Amino acid sequence: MQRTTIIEQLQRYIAQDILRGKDIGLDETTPLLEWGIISSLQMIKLLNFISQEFDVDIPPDKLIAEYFTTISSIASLVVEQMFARS
Amino acid sequence: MPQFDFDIGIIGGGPAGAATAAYLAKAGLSCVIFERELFPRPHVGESLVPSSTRVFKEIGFLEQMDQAGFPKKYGAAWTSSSSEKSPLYTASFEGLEADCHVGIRFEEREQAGVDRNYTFHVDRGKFDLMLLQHAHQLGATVYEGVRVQHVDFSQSGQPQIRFAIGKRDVHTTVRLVVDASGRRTLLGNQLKLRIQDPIFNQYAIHTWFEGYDRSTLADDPSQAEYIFIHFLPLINSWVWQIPITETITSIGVVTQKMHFAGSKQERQEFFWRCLESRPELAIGLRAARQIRPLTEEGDYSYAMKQICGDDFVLVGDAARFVDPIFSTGVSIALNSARFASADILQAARTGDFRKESFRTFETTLRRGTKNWYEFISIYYRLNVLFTAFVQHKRYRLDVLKLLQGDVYDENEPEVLKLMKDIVRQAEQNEGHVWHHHLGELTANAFQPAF
Repeated sequence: MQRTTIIEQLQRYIAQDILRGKDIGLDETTPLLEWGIISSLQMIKLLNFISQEFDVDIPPDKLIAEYFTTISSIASLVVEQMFARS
Repeated sequence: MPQFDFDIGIIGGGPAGAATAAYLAKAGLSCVIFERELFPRPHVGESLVPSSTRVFKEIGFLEQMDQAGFPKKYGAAWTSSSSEKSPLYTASFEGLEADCHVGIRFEEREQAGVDRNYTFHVDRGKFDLMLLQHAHQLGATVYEGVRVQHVDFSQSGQPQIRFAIGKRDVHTTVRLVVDASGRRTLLGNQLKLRIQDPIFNQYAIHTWFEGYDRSTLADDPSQAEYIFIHFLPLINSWVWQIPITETITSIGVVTQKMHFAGSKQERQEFFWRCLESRPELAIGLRAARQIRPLTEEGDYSYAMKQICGDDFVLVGDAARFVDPIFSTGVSIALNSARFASADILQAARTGDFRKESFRTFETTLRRGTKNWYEFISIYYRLNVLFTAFVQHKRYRLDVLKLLQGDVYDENEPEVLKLMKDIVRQAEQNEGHVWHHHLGELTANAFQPAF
């Protein structure tokens, strides 16, 4: 799967399921944690989404804020985990 | 030859004692139960988990349970003040066999219309009386209103249970003493086996309400018969909501003991102040009628250095108590009775009631209570993790299995190992997404005491 596709899917998910259509000019560099877009409960939903959509589970030692700062960094993490798996 | 009055003397007629007597009497041993109260009497611990079902089945009590009219418990729901209007998450028992052994079907499954995806909420006055009467019907001798004072172990192989009837001191000689005295921990105190839990120091205050609308915080009417755990904004504190009958609901506040200092009056106020911190809950309860005085339970987290020895075995709360968060008290009581009985029957065959005879019981219970303790510790330490796993498609069933009380077969369930790993990561790394959600309780006391 292409990195750009992952970014698109993550962005769509966050816009629809987390922001529920609220327009904040979301893009791949929006600081998700800093702006409080992803709370602890939303983090759980996001991890479930990643698991279902991309078929990768984020290992415990990667649940670090720096990997979740932006859509771009989450996409990098997903890509990395996809490679680790194959 | 020593003269024995009975094979087995059981102290306490609650679920642990009655179930032990039922197993043993059914297998032909002569048993006597000494219960200090006159049943029925009120008791805390009103919600069961499905691992009880297996015991009910084995002692021939399941049909009575099904016919007794107790509310059926299909699952559990958790709510928090941040999601005031609806549960954070729910777990129904669907998807697992109710006997807790995944994939193994018992013959009850074939009965038409019998759905085993549930357990029960019980009025403990009624439930405990039924179970004690059942033990009696199976052949156990039952004395109510007899308070055992002491067990004399000075004659090896011939313990004597001592109590008073009227003004006369009486004793009964048995081959083995089973302490099922609950949180009174008769033998634990007498033999100085009891250790206070250094981590959990919870306190509970509870009562019954008539006419409370149990769907107040449910998002689906079918959840109204679930047990509800309502988290309070106060750390490590929560409220239980347990259906007792169609119209009666048990409500209890569980919190740390330090919040509970003060007079009776202050405690009454504290109880309501806690409820007020969840406004919708408080409004619902104000509209209902409190029908029992507030009852307090304290100092209930402890372990024992030993759960068996020469001529004695401890079962139920007399052996261990952690924390009631997952409604496990009665289930652990019943299952400890089940494991103890298996060893006791074997010991009766060989006539050897020394400590070694109860090794299987000891190992099994150690494993089970360790798993429970860890699960509960993780729950308090990093609650969001529990939420994450209950919602995760891969781990949901594993967590459900633990919630059902199926904790005895594996040394360390995979899912627990993984959860502990995440807790460790969150503790060690400030950058961890859940570092700031760590609770006060630390996860380092994972050792059972026996």
